[in-house]
Amino acid sequence: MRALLRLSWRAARRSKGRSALIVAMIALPVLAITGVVTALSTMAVSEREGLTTSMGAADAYVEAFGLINPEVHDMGDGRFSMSGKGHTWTAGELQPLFPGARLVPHREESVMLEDRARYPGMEVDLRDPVSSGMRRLVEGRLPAAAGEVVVSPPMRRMGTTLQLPQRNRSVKVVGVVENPNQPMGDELVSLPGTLFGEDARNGLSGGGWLVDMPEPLLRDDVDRLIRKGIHVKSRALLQERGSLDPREDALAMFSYGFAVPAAMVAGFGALLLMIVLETAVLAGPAFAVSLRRRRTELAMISAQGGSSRHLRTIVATDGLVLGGLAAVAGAALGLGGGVAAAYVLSRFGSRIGPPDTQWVVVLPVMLLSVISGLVAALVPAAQAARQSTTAVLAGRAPDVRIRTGRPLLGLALIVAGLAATFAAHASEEMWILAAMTLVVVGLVALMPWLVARCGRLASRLPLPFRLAVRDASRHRGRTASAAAAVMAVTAAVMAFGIGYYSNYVDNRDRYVPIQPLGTLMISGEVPTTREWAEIKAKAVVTLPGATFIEAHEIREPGSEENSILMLPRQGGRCGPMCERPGGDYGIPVGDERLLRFLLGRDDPAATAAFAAGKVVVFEPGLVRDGKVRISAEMTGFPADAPAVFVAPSQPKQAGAVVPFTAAKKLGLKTWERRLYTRYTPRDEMLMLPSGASSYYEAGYRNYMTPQLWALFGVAFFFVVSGTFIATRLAAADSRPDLATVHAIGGSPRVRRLLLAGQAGYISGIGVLTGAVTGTVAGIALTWSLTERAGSVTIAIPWLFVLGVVVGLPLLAMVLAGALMRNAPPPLNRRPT
Amino acid sequence: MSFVRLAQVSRHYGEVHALKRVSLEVAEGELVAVMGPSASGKSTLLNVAGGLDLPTSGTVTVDGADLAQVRDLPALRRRAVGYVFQDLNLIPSLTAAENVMLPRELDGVRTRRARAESLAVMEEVGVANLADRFPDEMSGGQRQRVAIARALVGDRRLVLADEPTGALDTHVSDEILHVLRGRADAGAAVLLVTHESRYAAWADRVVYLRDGEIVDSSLLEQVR
Repeated sequence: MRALLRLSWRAARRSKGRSALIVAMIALPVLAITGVVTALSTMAVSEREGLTTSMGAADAYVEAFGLINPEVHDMGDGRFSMSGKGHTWTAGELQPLFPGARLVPHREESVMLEDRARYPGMEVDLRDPVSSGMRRLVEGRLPAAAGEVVVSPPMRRMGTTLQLPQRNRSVKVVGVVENPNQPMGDELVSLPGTLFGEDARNGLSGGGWLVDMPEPLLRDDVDRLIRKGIHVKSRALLQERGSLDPREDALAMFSYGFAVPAAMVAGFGALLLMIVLETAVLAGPAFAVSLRRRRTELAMISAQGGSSRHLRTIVATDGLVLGGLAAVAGAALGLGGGVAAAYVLSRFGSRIGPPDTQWVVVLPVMLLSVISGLVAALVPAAQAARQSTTAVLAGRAPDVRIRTGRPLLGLALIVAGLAATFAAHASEEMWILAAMTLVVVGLVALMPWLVARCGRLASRLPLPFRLAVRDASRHRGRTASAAAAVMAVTAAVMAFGIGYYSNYVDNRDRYVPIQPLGTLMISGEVPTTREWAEIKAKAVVTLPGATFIEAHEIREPGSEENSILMLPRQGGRCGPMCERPGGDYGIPVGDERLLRFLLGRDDPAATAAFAAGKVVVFEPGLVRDGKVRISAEMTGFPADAPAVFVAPSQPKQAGAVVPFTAAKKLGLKTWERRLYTRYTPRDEMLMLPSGASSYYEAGYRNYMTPQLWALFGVAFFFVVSGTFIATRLAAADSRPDLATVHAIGGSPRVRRLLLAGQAGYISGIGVLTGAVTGTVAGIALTWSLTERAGSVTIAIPWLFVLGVVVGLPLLAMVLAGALMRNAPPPLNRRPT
Repeated sequence: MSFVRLAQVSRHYGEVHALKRVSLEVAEGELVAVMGPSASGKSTLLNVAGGLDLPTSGTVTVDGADLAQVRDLPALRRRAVGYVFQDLNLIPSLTAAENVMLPRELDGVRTRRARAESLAVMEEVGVANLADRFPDEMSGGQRQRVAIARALVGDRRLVLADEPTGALDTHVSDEILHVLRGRADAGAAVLLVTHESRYAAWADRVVYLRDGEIVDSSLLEQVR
């Protein structure tokens, strides 16, 4: 094995370009997966990793809010549960429980600034040694007196004096600090009492003490304190056992076994198979060309006593060596890239911990790339074992039997895959993916036969294309492999493109606006008229020149909260519109202006009915025998009210308007808590006082274009690179043919057309077969994604399909013809 | 006693009769030269004698073993037969010593021992100083000497050399023939294909082939 590894390693080093190409192709998935996993792991800060930024140098952290004299219920195995009365502990009560310790107050909460937005705030004395490491001073000095704050770097822009409207005071910015785990997050830090007020121990949230102790707090101490109702975290324990890190939890679940849905296993398996298959078929032709170059070398080894097994192993070892190299290179680049990406993202506000990755994901992916390399080398290895030593040594063309793949096996797999797709069409997406993989594997097996068949159709083509197709068909191992790579990617891209586009169209068509497009509603969930007046005043200031239409909401009797008025469907048929009449906000009560506004026009009949006390409903299915059912969470409801259906100007708009008289008749108490207006969204945010919320009707706002572009990008990358590699190999192979063409007077244009023809043939076959497969799978996906009550939305993104099916092969042709080296080759003796 | 024996050996490739009922014996310590024009069947004779190719009819015996009965012909080549060709001899990615070691390593011999054996035989043919050079760092003559060392490594006693001097100048060719002669004198059976009668003079016996048939077989004295 050592001799074989040495041979492969040396051969890889001798042809550096080709080896690098193969390594790059195999390493790509490893790089991508390792990069993403490393970036996510580095950005996820576990409790242990974030210990210093959350606790500084403290030995323990005690929360102010806990229980007093709790009842402890032992559950065995050292576990217990507690119940009792909530209690806010004071430093005086706690001090005796921590003998010799120093308690340094600490509190984290959000704080509102003059722009009415809330920002994370922290109160702690950063000058105290116990808080060392929590924040890094990057500018100015730390707060030393009440009324002084330090801010995080992004908040520098807000000026040197900040207003705290809730406390009616201003604070002075004296420095800039950075949270090592989130350098660009928003934050203010002050001494206790500045940001949140004197009563820092109200027990609501985020308050406690950093505890500086003479000795670490051990498990027994923690147990004792918790049983007293005190929430305490020990640095020593957290460092020892880590903490409840969500990722570690997930891994624990993974290793202890939990119910994994079969569809997920099938889908995941299919995905792995697709990765190996794609890599193998992409790298396969490069190995095949390597084999051709090494034929004499292998014949020499055979002459020296190398058996078929030896030759097969030598070529397979090439795959192992290059797969191994790719695994290491991909993982190394992925780790570096992931950490770099996490760092860059942290400069835009995301969190960052120490460089970290998930080896449980990275190692299997590396193994997968080694397997991919090995699989890619298997066919050339089998060919190497079959080659005739005497023929090669005599310089005759190798009499390796040219196989037409395994068409019967391929057909059987395709039929099985189509049947599976049909069976899976109404189930989960993962099953459809698995079924599609079966079809793709079948097509891979069928591809050499298909390439040979299509080659026969070449006789009517112009010379360069005829030559290209004939050459591609003759070297069908190489051609079929590249075409299969293109096919697999196209199939996946088309399936997802059609599936998700249909889903998008379906969602878009089912979207129900609750008010006319381009209108804004401001709703106030506030108990007093004064506060509502503040909201209205703020709205008028924020949107100068806007005309507001007031509306009422229902007030729960004996309460100061709004109640939501709904129109429940009363059985029978009901279109998508009655799924959310009034949306999350409920039906408004109002006057004729409101009716006109929501209706989008003047409608005398509707106005007359409204004036007569009838509820105007925009959804016909909800009105039965001239009545609509109204629900509200209070006594006497649901109740029926006289109603009339009127179609609003805005198609599909749902909802209704209740006239005051009808509300009164139903015994509903109302109060003005809603404003409607026309509104053009601007860049700045609509700042409203607390208790107010707004809803802007923009129509369906989930755009499909980015996803389709991303899919197109994937297809572009694989189709063009796969085709390019195969065409380059073909060009290298057909140098003698090119030399002959040149010698008999073929112009450079003819040679370029020949290369373009090769590229077009490979990508064309691949894309066409892939598109058919992908369309079938995509249509199956639409069932899974859009089927409701027997109706399915099938929508084809035609531009996308056209781009993939026509655009990409054309692009591959043009690129191959334009970019491939095309110097006239010398006319050498050829071993035929 | 003959080390390799061909009895009534024929080899047909379809309609082409490369060898026709050829009988030939080469004894240990004997150097036999095979001469003849192009396409006379010289290389086929060599391929059949070493088990690279199998005869259509007739028997080939190497060291007493009938090749038709040998199940593992590559193993026979690793242990008993060494080939030297005109070119394409060495694997470019391996050093001289690694090339010589190859048959032993393929045979499962541990690297350290294979290297020791290869250095010993390279010493014998005078190329021990080239052990760590790659083929493209050596002259044509040096490459052929290394190839001969590889053909001999591991106590192999049949050397089949197919035009080993075809690509070399006269002086270097003489050196190669000298080495082959020396190996024969040390007890190896050497079958040498050449089309230059000058080198046939180094042989104990010369066999003339034409159209796949032996037309003459004469002892060295008779040639002289």
